[in-house]
Amino acid sequence: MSAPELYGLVLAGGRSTRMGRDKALLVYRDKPQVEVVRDLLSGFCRAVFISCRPDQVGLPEPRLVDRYDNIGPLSGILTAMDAHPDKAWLIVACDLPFLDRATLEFLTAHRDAKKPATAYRGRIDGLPEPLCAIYEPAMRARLHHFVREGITCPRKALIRSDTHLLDLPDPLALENANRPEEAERARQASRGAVRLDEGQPEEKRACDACPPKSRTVHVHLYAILRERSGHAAIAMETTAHTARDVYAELAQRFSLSWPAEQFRVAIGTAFVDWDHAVREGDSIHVIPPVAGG
Amino acid sequence: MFTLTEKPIDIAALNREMRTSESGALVEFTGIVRSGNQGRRVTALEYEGAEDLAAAEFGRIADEARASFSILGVRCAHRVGRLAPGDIAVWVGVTAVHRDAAFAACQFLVNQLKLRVPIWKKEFYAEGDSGWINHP
Repeated sequence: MSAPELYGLVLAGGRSTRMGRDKALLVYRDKPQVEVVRDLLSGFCRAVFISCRPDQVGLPEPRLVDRYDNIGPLSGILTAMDAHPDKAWLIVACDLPFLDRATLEFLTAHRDAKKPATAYRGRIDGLPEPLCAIYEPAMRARLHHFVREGITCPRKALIRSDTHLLDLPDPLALENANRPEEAERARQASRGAVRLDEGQPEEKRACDACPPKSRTVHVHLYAILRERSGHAAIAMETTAHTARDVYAELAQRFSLSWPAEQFRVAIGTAFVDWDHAVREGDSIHVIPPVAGG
Repeated sequence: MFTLTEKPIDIAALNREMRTSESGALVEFTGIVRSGNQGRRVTALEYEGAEDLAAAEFGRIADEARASFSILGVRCAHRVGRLAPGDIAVWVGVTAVHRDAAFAACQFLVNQLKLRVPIWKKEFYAEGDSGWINHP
């Protein structure tokens, strides 16, 4: 029996909260990232689809619109697997600016179709990288089962399955870019201006593949910010981790062009750093330059 | 210790409340709305404040003042809402055993208040336009 035919899926439905703009449409080299990944995949897949949310515009066809809500990347993955249950899927996120042909070639060449999935080991923790991996048809029922159990992290799903794991030929190929400064670094690296493995210290962070947990925060806006936004207080449902991310969301929503640095920020009655973490129920005050007296 | 108010500031009442038999000095600062700013004629001002945050920040400033100067009591009242030239915008009072500490602390409190306390001021000009002060 030959291995199931391989289809490709570009995951472009992330909310890009930390980036402040759609990661799928960022240009690192000469075209939007979603097209770069699509073109890469088309060398290995019989058909390639763009996975996106119902409200997303400006992405190329053919698209597969999420049929699940609030389960992060699994919504795109399951939508695709449900649509073509007899195919295997090469699933790739659109925020991997260093992904290249060789990395996909190695993955597809070493695919084990008898296992439910084939994936790379992560550079830092050795755990499976779920957003550049091959999901065999057998994985579909498993993923549905995991979702019913409340497991919506595709990395956990791969850990709990008999995933065929490979070492990355290029250890930096799956670095991702979630924030503007990471994207800028990726741009410089793609021009050879900086090397990716120098400079910034390695940051330990939560699983990037998990659907972000959302929280409700209460944002208070004053003076010119209140006038521009039309709101003195807003209850925001957000996946933002820091005050800076909350401001980025607001800036996008209300087309504010001022950088966060022009303002101060307070949580409750304490002034904090823009990189201060935000928690459920926080009252966040964005403070324009003051002029009392 | 700190009040944001939409009503006129009752200086006489604040003065009365602050006087004690231990304090040999009460130094007061009264800030008044000017009719001109940077060469433009101002017809009105609108003040806005973040109440709890402003009170907390003024409290921190008062703590700093107590650490630096030998003072007894500190009070501040600031107006919010629409004011006309000649109106009282802010009042700061400091008591101390001796006047030198009260003068120095009052100066410090007013300077820090203007720099740090989350209160904003919008000026309305004779030509009909308006603008937020200090906003870039």
